[in-house]
Amino acid sequence: MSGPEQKLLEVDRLSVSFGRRENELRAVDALSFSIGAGEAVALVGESGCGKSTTAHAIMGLLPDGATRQGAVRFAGTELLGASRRTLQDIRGDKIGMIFQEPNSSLNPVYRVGDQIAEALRRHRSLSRRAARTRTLELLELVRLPHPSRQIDAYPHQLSGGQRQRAMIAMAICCQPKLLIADEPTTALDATIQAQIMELIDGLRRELSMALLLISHDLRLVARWTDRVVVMHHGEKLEDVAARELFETARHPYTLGLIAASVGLDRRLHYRKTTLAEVRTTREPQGGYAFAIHQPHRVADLPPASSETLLSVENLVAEYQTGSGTVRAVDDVSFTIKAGESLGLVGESGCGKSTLSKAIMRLIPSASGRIALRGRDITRLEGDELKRARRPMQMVFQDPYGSLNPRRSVGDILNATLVVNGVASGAERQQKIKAMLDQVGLLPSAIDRYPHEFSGGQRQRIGIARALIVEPEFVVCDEPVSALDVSIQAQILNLLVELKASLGLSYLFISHDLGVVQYISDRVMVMKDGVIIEEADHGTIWTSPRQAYTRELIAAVG
Amino acid sequence: MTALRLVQKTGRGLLNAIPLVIGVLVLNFTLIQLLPGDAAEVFAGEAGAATRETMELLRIRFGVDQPVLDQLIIYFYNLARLNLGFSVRYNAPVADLILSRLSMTVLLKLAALALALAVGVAIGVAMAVWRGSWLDRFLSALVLLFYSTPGFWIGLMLVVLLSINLGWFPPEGYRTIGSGLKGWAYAADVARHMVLPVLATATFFVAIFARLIRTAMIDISRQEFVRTAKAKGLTPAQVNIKHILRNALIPLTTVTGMQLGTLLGGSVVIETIFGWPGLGRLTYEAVMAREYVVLLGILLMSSLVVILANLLTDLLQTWLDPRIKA
Amino acid sequence: MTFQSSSARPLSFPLPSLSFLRRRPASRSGSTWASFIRDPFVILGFAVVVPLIALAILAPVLFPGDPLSTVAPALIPPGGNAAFPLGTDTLGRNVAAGLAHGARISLSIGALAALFSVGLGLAVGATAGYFGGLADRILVRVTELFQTTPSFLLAVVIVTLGGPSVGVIVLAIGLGSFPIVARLVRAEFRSLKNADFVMAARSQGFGNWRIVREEILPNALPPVLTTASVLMASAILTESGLSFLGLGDPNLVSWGSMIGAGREMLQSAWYLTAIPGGMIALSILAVNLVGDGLNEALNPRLRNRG
Repeated sequence: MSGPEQKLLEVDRLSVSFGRRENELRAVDALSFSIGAGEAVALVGESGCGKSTTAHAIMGLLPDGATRQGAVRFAGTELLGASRRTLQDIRGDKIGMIFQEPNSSLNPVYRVGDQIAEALRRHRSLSRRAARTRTLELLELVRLPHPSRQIDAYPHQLSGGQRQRAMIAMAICCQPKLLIADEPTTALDATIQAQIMELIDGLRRELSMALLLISHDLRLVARWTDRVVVMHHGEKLEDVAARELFETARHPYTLGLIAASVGLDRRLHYRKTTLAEVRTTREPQGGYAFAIHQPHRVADLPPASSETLLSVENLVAEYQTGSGTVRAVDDVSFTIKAGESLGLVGESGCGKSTLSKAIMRLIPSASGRIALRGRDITRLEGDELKRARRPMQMVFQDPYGSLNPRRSVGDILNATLVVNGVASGAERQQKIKAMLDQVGLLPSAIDRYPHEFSGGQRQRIGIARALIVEPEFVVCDEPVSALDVSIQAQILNLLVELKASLGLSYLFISHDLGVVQYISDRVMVMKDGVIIEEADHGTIWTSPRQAYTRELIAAVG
Repeated sequence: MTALRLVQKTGRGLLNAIPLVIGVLVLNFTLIQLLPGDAAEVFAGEAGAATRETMELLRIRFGVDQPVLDQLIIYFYNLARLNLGFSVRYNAPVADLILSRLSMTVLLKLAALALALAVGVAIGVAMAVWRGSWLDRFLSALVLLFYSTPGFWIGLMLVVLLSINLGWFPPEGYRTIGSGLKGWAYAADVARHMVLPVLATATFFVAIFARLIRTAMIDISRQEFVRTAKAKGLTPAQVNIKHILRNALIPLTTVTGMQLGTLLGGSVVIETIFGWPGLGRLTYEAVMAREYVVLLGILLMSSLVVILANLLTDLLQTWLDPRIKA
Repeated sequence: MTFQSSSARPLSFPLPSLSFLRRRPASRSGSTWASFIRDPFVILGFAVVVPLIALAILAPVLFPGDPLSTVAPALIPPGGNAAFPLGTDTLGRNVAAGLAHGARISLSIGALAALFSVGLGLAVGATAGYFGGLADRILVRVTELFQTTPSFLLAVVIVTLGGPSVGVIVLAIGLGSFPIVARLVRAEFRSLKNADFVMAARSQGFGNWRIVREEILPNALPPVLTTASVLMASAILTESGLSFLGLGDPNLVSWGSMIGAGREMLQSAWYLTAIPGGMIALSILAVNLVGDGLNEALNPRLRNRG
């Protein structure tokens, strides 16, 4: 163990708050931790816990309205009180940083190579030519394909993973002592995620940099760092060695997050177990109390029947782009039995969302057949479609975009009932109250507007809207992807409970293998518009037939 | 690579402009149909200016007795030969008349646009960089005043102040008559005459551009690549100019393109006030004399100028923004 | 052309934004309406607009008789005669009476033209944006055509051809400015029709009309309302330009025609130009202030964030 005088970065009782007086929001609260030279430390926590704010405070990138207290010492220099000039000299030279969204983190109007060279020439006196040579070396170092060509590419011409590689090249161009990576792989597909983390880890060892990794993903930080600092509401809850995170973590919140997560290796399945929920309550004297709650297993989950509920045959869906027709769904066939939940996994752009919209008849299908309980609905229109489609409902990914911001919850549910022919106002009111209760919302929600609810509560409203017309079949398009782990567990438990009590069948779409493993009886894997593999939940994870499926499993394993 | 993209863009832009040009022509033709009397009378100028024989000839040439569709074709045919009719009052073909006046308008408008861009962008940058400061508030109030005050009235007040009372600038005309100046002295004389009309035209656009740049820069400053630029250690000046302002130029081009029609249309009043011999002044004279053929010719030509200018704006934008596909 | 170019972030129109003059962003609590009427800039705007409207309505009571008739000796300077506080013009007409009656024309033409372009723009933009396809292509072309034609010139031509009546002037101004609304509404509808909440409504069998009316329109309307105030301001401006050129209704007095008449006397009686011009600037300023307050109150970026 190295003494405090050898620490590269020391954060000492750092507090950051926004706003003033009664509106004050304390984002970081007396946070202390340190990073030794060459060490990899993670800040982990759910959204809003202050982990990104901490990173910005270290870099001096907080917005003007923020007030800061405490100390941040980097290699003997106090950063919080440092002059702007000092900070500018340290940024990009001694500390490099990469961000979550590679798509928007590069300036769209400059070539990638020029943006890297700009950082180089800011800190080193290099000629244009020398900077370009060095940039090329850096692009090779981060293993960007075709570096001598891509150096002159604009950001929009690169893929997300390639852009993140370019960002990394920029962050390490001056061989910084510390690399701050703020959710560097969250926006990327699982297979790319693993590659990027391997790259960061390799570079860290090669250039003997310290790493501050900021993430919401316990598995990711356990695998790639030495030490993990768990944060909640701006406070540090515990600081544990990463290798033993899952064994030695002691704080109930950390334990709760571990219990609530649905990692592929945990082999959880909804027919066998419920997910643990972390309950956080604010205590009157200010602090928080944490408890782990394991809901009772739903007893009467009927097995899937042999009766076919939905059948999709040779479905093709296309869309037009500037450069021609793209076949997003290519000759897809499958069936769902009554009472079954079918999982659909695939990486972004594989066509899984298009497939769900085509099934719901929200976009036209070029060819093929969709039949609900034997009735062909592929070409129905108007009232006939409305009646035939009623047993089929959809839950959307984005809890913010899927509710009309200008209508109250009661209004939203009421309109759905009106359109679906529930004539009596009293009956509608009664159904709305019953439904809200069923999804775990208070009756007072009726008069409130979507923006007054949290992400998880909004997703409950979205589920209520889908279920209030008493469907048999629900398409869930990434319903928990935008949610934190603890909320995700609650929503998954709710979906299982509703499935049992209402006898629902699900088509559950997700990019997250753990989630799909938990909720599905049968799983389909989609790639480039084609279903490449389909198997029972018992076999697909242990003996996948396709190389691509194995790749997906390996990436998160 | 970039050059090829621009060439492709030009080609596509021209192709796109064709239906628009046809639309402009049809609109003009429709307006002609709405005129009192038939096209021959319109094109011959006011009644009585032409003999019976020429009227008959014109009627045949314009196919007035033909169905409307044939008339439209004949109209297109005449336009293809740059025949926009004949102005009796000026005793000249309308096309020649318009072309001779166009350059004066373009000179005035380009000068005003350049001034408005320079001042507007400077004010906008200052407001964005020092947002919330007293300077920002002062400039905002000034800009709001510019935005709300009719340019022609500002022009008239400038005449009262700078011309009548102080005698610094001539109140109208585009050169000192009978001075016989040549070369640079002549240019300076014209420039002196341009000051007031340029100022009167520019104020409104200064306001538009300043606001736009301020809003755009503040919007852009919240984008993530700006955070990246700061994380690289760039100085605030480098971040503001190289990264934020550079991106703000893209919406600026869009809006400049959209405002060109306003700019051209606004010249009617300004040129009338300052006796500037451009298209706007010609419009006024045509209105006063009820010379519809001149009026419609101007509308047609102005629309074509705007289409052309929009094409150039598009090219500029393609050059500024690599994300735009050719 | 500009209409089609796929710039990364479409900027509809440089709306006046005074948000930066405020010390704090508009209150996030409370209703839209409450924050709107508490806004000091809106109050200032209304403090000008309300008396102007009152002046317009009460003009026949305050200044009975034809404001175009000679009532006193010519060219009494402002303050020169208590009966004519703003003096008289070259023909001995009461300037104050002219201003009051001129307010009727300016404000009514401004409001009507804005209403006309918002109505037309909404219809065109909503149809094009919601249905897409052939209807969209045709309507986009038509909108583009009117956007390409210099609007003031178009107004001059229409008024010259159609005669200088209030109806023709409203039509002439409205035709030139509806593309702004149409483009804005089209863009809003195009993005909103793919929003998840509209998808949800469609998947539940909501009809097109209900979706447009209840799901899309309430979300698309705020920017349109703000634009309406900008259009009203610019319509007042255009009307003043037209009547300055002598293209207004010759039987009605308007601020623009007063400037036009006063312009001949710029040397000796500059106030004949300055006073009506000041009225135009003042009313446009006030309309912009109110419109900006609306923008502030309705801006979803400032509100609806929990």
